Amino acid sequence: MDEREDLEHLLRQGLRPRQTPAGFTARVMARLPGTPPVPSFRKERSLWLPMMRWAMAALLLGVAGGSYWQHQQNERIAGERARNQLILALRMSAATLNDVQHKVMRSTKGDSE
Amino acid sequence: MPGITGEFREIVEAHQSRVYSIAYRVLGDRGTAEEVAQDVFLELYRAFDGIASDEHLIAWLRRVTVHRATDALRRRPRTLHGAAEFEDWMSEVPREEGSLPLASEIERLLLALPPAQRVVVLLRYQEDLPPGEIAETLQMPLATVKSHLQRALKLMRARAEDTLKEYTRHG
Repeated sequence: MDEREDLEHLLRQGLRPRQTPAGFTARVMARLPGTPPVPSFRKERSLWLPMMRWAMAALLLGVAGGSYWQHQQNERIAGERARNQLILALRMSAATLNDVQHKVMRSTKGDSE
Repeated sequence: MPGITGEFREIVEAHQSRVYSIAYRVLGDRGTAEEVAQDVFLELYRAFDGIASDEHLIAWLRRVTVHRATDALRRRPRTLHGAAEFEDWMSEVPREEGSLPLASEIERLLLALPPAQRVVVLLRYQEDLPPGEIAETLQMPLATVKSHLQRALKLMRARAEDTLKEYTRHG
């Protein structure tokens, strides 16, 4: 081995790749731009969250629609009841008037005889 | 982009040693070398779609690391000329803790070279590239690569006579 080969051999030996400082990969990954990768448990949660929101919105709409319908029903029933009472009252008034009229007619008849 | 993070992590793990070693040996300090190496991988992340093959990836990493490291070096230039200046400088450069004595001595000798020669030596002996590929990587004429290599080896041989004598005897 001549002097040049000697040195070249030493250079190859001495210039083997060095080890990087501990935690190098983690530090590089932490500096990556954009959204960090989502761990699987967070992925599942992130799918459930919009579904839960839609379900809550549907439930609220159902409750609001139901109570509005109930209110309308109550008003309709109350209206019908009032109408029936009025009809009854009118019928009763008509019957009373007939009685009074019969009595008046009878008494008028008795007076003329 | 987040979809590629798993694949990207594997690439960082597979090539970090190469990238960090080039940056460290061009710059000579661990902190800046790590910053440069991290920046190179972030740049790769942005350019990831354009990488066509493993060979392309390695060539890309070599080229970008050399450029980013020499950019960082330009911000704190230091060129050594005379033997006395070299001796002074060698006494200032600390030996890396935990590294093999030979590697440490070679790195100290390498850091004493002018930056262009240092990069050529690195690509030749760390990356095992032939002069033609070094010329391609550095966008440099082949004759310039060969001349840098010859001058660097001559300079290192002269400076290493004392430092590396024992390794050549035992190696």
